[in-house]
Parts: sequence; C-alpha cells; structure tokens
Amino acid sequence: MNEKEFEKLLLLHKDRIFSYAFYLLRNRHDAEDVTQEVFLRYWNNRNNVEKKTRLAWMMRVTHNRCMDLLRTKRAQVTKERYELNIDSLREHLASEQDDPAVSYEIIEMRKMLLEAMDSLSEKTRSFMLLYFYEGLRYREIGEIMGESESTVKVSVHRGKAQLKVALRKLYPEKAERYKNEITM
Amino acid sequence: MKSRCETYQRWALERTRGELPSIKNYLLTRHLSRCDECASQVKEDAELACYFNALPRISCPEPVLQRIRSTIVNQRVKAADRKPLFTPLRLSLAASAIGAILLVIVLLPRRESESTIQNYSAAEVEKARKQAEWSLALTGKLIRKNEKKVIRETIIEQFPSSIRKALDESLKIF
Repeated sequence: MNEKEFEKLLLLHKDRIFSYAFYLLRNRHDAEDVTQEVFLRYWNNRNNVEKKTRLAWMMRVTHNRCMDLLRTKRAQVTKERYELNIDSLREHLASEQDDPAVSYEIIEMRKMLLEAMDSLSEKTRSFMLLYFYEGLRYREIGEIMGESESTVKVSVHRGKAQLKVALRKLYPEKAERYKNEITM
Repeated sequence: MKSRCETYQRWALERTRGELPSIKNYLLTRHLSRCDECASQVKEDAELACYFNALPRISCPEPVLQRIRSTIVNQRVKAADRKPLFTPLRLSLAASAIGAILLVIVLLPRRESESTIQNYSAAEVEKARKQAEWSLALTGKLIRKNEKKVIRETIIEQFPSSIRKALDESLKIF
C-alpha cells in the first residue's frame, strides 16, 4: 500500500473510527489521539493486514485502545469523562437538518440514549454501539472484541434489555411516548 | 435462529436508517410475515435503533488528519536519511575481501596430514608392537634393579650393623 492508497483509506474510515472512539470515550481529545494512533499503527503494519480485514483490524485496535484508556481513567473519575461535546453535535446537526423541531427531537433522543448508555458497563456499551450504530454482524463484533459469536449474541440481547430499562428509568414518560411513536 | 434470519434482522436495522434498497425491503417484508421470531426481534430492535440512528457520524477534525499525514511524511524522511548498512562501495569492498580470503584458502598448499596406523602394513605394525613390548619389559626390569640398589644403599648407610645384616640376608632371599 502506498501513500495514495492510504489517503483513500483514511478519508473513507476516518469518521467511523473517530465517532466510535468518541462515543465510547466521551472525550474529544482522547478520541482524536486514538484515531491518530489507529491510522499510524495501520500504516506501520500495512503489509501485515489483509485487504479484506482492514476495517475489522482498525476497529479492533480502536476498541482495544479505548478500553485501555477507560481502564486508566477509571481511577480518575471526572466530569470530563461523561462530557459530550454537545456544541459540536449541534453544529453537525444544524448542517444536516433545517427543521428546528426535528432537530430538537433528535437532540433529545440522543441525550436520552447517551445518558442511558452511561448506566451500562463499558463492554456492553461497545456491544450496543457496534450492533446498532455500526450495524455489524455478531461474527464481526466477535472478531473486533475477541469474543465468540454466541457470547456476542447473548451480550447484545442483555444490553438491549438493560438499555431499555435505563431509558424507562431515566425518562419514563418520554421513553414511553417515543416507543409508541416508533412501534406504531 | 437461522443465519438467514440474522441477515434479515440486519436489513431491518438498515431499513430504520432508510438505507435499505427496495428489493431488499420487499424480501424483508415477505420474510417478516412468515417468521415470527424475526418479526418480534425486529419490533424489539426498532425502538432502540431509532435512538441510535439519532447519533450522528462525527467528522474527524482536519488537524488530526494533518498530524497523521505529517507523521507519515516524517517517517519517510527519517527512513531516507538513515544511512544504509550496505552502500555500494562497502558492498564491493566486502565482496572483494571475501573473495581474497577464499582464494588464499584454495591456493595455499595443504599441510601433510600426520601419519596414522592405516598407512602401515600389518607386519610392520606387529613388529612395532613387539618392539614396544620388549622395551616396556626391559624398562620394568631396570626399574626393579634400581629399586633394590636404592634400598640396599639406604640400609648400608643409615641402618645399624646388626639390623643391616639381618635385612641384608632377607633382601638376598627376596
């Protein structure tokens, strides 16, 4: 792989890697560092990684690096850990959505989800992000997290239940309203 | 759950994001009307999928990409600066040195190997063995003779005369 091909790969997967790291870490600076490290590691190992497994390789490195960071940061619990860069999200959303009413609803759902996700363990949070947000298959999630397919299946199932409980506990009325709207 | 069911469940998630092509949408609808397990699973997933669909993809900041690019360029520059171990000059010098050593080894006359028993006939070996046996026997005889001489001289010079006489007689018998 030459620099030109790497540039293509970088542009193709940069947002995916950054978003996953950001939602797991909830810290923009850490997510930036992780993204940089992942791509540089890929560049240094480009001859050892098969073309087919590129994305899975990068996602695995991202996941492992995020878990390492969370482990080291667990001791120093700060506000920043759970801080979400709402301004950047609003900015992002503003460019996408013109209807302010829709934007508000989406922001509200996002806030609910992120708060509910905080009640999950870091591992379960990863399972949920990879399943729902990245839209990966159980086998692919297993490859990234180093778990068997059946373990992933069970963990995703448990994660869904935990997340629903957390949503209803945190926002009983709103969660019920959204549920009715969605399942209608 | 059949592996096909998992595919349909993935399609259902794609449908919540509005990313499912119409043909797949048709196949999914047909499958859900027949498979109760998938239908309940999809219904269950739909609620959470909507929350996750509200999470946007966040653009990786440009400075991060620039840092990645510049690090790669720096790595390339460093690699180019690093002097290689085998420059053409060094390589040719090493090759000629090795060639000279090999030439000396090949052209130098070999030292004659030491003679071994295999270079002699059986008769010559037998003769040599007998000679060696004879010399060993003679040497042993001389040693014993000298031993007697030394003992006698010690007795004569250092022992009292009465003891010397008795010992002298016993020595004769011995």
